[in-house]
Amino acid sequence: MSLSNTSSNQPQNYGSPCSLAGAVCALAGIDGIDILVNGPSSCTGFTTGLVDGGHPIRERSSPVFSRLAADGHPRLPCSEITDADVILGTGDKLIQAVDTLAEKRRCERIAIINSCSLSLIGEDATNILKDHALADRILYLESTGCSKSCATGHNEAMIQLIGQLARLQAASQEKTVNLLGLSIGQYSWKHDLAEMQRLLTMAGIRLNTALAAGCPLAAVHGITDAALNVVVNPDYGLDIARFMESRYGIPYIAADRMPIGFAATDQLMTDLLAAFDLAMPAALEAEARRCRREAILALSHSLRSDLLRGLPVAIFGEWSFVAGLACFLEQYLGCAPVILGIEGKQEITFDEIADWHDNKACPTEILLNPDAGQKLAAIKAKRPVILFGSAFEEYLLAQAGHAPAFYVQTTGPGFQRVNLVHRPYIGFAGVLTFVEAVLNCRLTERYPYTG
Amino acid sequence: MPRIKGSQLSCTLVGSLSVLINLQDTAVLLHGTTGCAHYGMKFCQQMIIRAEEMVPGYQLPPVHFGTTALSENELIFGGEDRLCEKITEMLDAYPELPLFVTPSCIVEVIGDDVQGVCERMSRETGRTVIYFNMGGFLKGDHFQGVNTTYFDLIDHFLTPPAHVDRQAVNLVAERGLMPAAEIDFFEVRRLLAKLGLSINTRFVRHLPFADLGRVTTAALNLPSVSNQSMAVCQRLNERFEMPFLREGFPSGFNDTHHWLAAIRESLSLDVNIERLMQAEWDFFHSEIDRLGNPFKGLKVIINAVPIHMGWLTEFLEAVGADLMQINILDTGYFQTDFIDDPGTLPCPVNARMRFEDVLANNLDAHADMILQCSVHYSPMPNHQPGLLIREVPVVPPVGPRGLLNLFVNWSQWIRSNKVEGWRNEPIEHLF
Repeated sequence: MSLSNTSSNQPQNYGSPCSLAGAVCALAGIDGIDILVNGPSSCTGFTTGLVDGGHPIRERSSPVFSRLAADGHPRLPCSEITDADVILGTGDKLIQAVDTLAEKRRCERIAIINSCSLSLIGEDATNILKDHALADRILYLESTGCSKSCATGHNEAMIQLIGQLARLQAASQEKTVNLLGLSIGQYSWKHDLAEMQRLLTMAGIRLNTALAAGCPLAAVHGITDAALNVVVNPDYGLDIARFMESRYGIPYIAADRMPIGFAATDQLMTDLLAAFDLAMPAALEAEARRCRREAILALSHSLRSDLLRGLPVAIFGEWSFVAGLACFLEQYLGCAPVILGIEGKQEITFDEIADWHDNKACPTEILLNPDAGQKLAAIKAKRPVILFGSAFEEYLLAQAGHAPAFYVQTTGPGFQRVNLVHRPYIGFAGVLTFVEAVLNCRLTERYPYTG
Repeated sequence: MPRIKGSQLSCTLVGSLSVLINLQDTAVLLHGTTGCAHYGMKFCQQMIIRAEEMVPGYQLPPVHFGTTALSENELIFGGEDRLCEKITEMLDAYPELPLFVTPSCIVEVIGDDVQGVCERMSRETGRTVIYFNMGGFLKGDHFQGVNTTYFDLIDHFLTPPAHVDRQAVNLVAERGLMPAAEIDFFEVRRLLAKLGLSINTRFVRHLPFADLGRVTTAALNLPSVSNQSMAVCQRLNERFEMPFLREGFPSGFNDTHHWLAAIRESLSLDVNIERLMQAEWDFFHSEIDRLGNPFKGLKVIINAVPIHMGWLTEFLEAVGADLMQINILDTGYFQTDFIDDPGTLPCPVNARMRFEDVLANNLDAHADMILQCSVHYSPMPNHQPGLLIREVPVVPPVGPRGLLNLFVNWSQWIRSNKVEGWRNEPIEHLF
């Protein structure tokens, strides 16, 4: 195993969006909150694409929406800060933006968040709007910083929001859980949510709130009603779970990675049932058997034996996803993850990765926050046949020019694909998503005729 | 909420990247945070990948890009050390390439002396390290970023020519983020060939860095877009006395005629433009007759912004459609007083309309087809049964062949005689 690092443990590459995008996605995943970015239109414009792609809203079809769009605010309004405002202060524009937003939309709650440049000059939105007529409906979120990851932005925004809105726990409801770790900025969030809802129903456990995954604002007030928090993506949920445990005394279960594959899903469901002192329900066992059977039949009916054993694959994305998928591909399908490109995570260290990976047999290049050059060099050296990642890596794979090479989009940004049918990453059905993807790459592979 | 004065697309940073990423054999370092790098490269690579899909055989340019990825600590104590470190790293990684450094807004706020660092590093290493005067939104919008980058390239790398090739012209400031730029290029090249002219350089699209010196050897500069590329041409004129055309790439027959005539005049060419355009016109009509013309007699409404009006009305007239009304949307960031004499247009023109009024107009008119600009400005989410709605290209198609391509594309759609059922879904009941 070889490791590659950049000079500091910061996200050096540009694979993942900024913390503002993480925070905005988190807020936009809660229906009933209107977001106002106190910053320039460019920052908002960038983030709008992410939000609109991940969680389209009905207003897209209405003339009122068009009206806002015509003002240059297709979904996320902003205060349109310019260079002069940075010198003279943004107060007037912020007030004007709040007024216009209130006029155009219902605005049960308005969440205001500063862009990084505004937070750096210390613009205090709370003070500017303290006497505003809508002051009691405005939520002020501290900036999530300039250099933090998208996941960190998500976590910090949600912790602030829960801290401001959640009611103190009266009595938790029996066999009720919250799902933490989903964000509308994730490529598969809808499908992962549906899969977890399906598994929870089979297990006889009620879902209280899937935080930031299309939940209503009232669900944030009542998030403390749950007896347990379940973290399905540690990058996006672990910090929130820890906060809720310390503030509200709600325990949580979390693995060190996303529950991708049978083993990880089994473990998650076992932990979940154990937390409520429940036995494994027959329906859940039957579903696990059904998915296993489908996967095995597809694998055994593939054209050649050893189709996947040792198949070099590269995986790029955030730590929880990369680790989860790498384990599944290696342990269940026998593939060789030759490149793991980990983005955005700042807390993880090389020692931890090395500990995690030392159990594995294949020579893997692990890149922590690599830049494009490092990624390209690794792709050229390791020649993965299948690359899981974003369109950034797709570009590099095309540039590397080796064949056969297939790209499976698993994270954003994604330029050419939408993902509408049920294709979760996690849970039992998630196994079928990846078995299908890998087999389809392998079976469509063409080798040059050699005579 | 205040309206956007410039482009809603992006800030100077992405404008700058959209130019630099098109210049070959260079490395670009973004001094700022990773988020800005993410969005900038997302835009650029997205458009390049789309261009690749549109043009068979198009080669993906290599990405030589890095970012200083400033941390909170560096934002407090200054990011110049980090910049030096990253410049060294990039110069080592790309030993053959010049390095262009472009800062983001956050660097402007903390006041790093990026220019000073670049000059010092250039002196110490003997390599080309050039500072581009960006600063995210603090220095303006996307187009200001584009122009400033071109100005810096002109000032740093272009030199007076030893000779001028009288038969060669430059294409200046083609849109870096427009996938159709390659298609437009083919049409411009075809038209220029009819005048006996070749293309000296495309400044800077697909231009190798080593060829920058050749830019000044052209006889004439042709801006791609009249209002945006003109500043670049003016700069070239001020520095090297290079003549330039006052019009961008042409859309439609009239525009093309004027454009070719202007080039002929500028270069004193002996070409019969009238005969050339007659041949184009004849070819267009022979093709639409051969393919069958489904537009004839269709009652059409245009809901669009001013840049579409000239070529679109001309196109509809050429294909025999019946233009009922033109509604110019008051989008806030397009000039709407473009029509000097609305009486010259073959139908009523309603300028500066609100969305709601356009919608009412459309519903009353009982047209067969509505042509309207991008869905973001769309006033007609749901249409009447049988009504055809088509989006007008964001950038007008170039030249007569551009219109012909559009004709082929839209004809297929009209002939399909299908109505999208989803448009008639009662949306209110779905949520």
